[in-house]
Amino acid sequence: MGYRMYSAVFADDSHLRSLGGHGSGGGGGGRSLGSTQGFGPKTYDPYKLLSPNGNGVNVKSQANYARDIFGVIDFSQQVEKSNSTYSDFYNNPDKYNESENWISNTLTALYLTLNWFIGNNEDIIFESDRVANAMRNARKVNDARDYFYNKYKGTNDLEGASVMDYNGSWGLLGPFIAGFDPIEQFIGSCSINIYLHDDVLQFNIINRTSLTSASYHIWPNSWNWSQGPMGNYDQVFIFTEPINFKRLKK
Amino acid sequence: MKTIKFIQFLIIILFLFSSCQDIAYNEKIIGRYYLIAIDYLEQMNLSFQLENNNSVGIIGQTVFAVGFNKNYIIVKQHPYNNRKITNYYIVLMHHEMTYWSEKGVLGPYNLEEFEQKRQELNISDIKFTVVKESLK
Repeated sequence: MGYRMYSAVFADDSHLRSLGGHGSGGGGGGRSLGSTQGFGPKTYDPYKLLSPNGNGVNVKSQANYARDIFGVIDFSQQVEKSNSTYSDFYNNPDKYNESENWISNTLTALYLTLNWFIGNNEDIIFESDRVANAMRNARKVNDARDYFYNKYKGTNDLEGASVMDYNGSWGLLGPFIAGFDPIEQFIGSCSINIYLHDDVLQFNIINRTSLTSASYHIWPNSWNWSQGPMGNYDQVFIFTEPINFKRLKK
Repeated sequence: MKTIKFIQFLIIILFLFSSCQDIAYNEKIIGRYYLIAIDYLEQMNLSFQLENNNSVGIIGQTVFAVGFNKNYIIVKQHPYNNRKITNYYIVLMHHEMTYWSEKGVLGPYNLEEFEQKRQELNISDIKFTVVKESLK
């Protein structure tokens, strides 16, 4: 099962998805962005400059519901199992090495930041790709994972097992705890949800970048706007991993 | 010298992309129960505080009114900020740390069911004392 309402916006293996998009994906060079509701045509292409993949194409959502998308789409839907680096993390989480992606992840964080700043802030899903993988060993995610296993330790029936709206935040110490992980730094505070599908745990991490979060909550939340430069910018990071049955034993 | 410059570069990178790690709204209701919105107010949910000071949601967005006594919390919610729908919940409080805080949640109810349940539990006197007008 997938998100039928979504359209892939990257044609390569990045699995970057657009929330509520209706356009087609494509590769082979950047494209000018089409007309955006209320903001007129855009002729620049930030992907051309900053996309770490070099061929990403953004498709602006045609639907107004994109802003309320978290209430429309059921994120507990099962996605395809991750098939790349998750096994490395599962087998040896302490030695999971994401430093090899540091530069490309930094470019992605820069790209996301620029998109938010200039108002090219179509909502985005990263599904089981390099960017989503960067969150596998985030401290908040580790806490949520520990919570899941502690909660269901010794449980025989795992049907419906889940963790909803796990909130992790560390205040002003956050940037130091996140360390030099650019994706973690970009996300900041977030909501973490864990669902069990067969023998696989699916992590959905939901984040909104807004002027409030960028200004460390100095800017009032009610003053934020939904589109345009420095408007609300929603991202969802999804990855899966096999359930660790050893951790469920009493 | 190169090392210092490299460290400076890393520190700049560290803060260049960093979003706020704090949450948008956090208000203690009673005991381990908090109203929390992570990034924006419409995410307001009733959360249960864990031992590590993180929390886990027990009634999802968008919670806009709560009331309580020493054993129960009553909750009004517009599910995902859909203001055409109002759900009512009754939460039997856990005073100690538990991984199953959601087991104390009764609901969602409509208003009629909610009032009936309140009478059954003899908690009709609890008023909605914490109301978020902007989410109402």
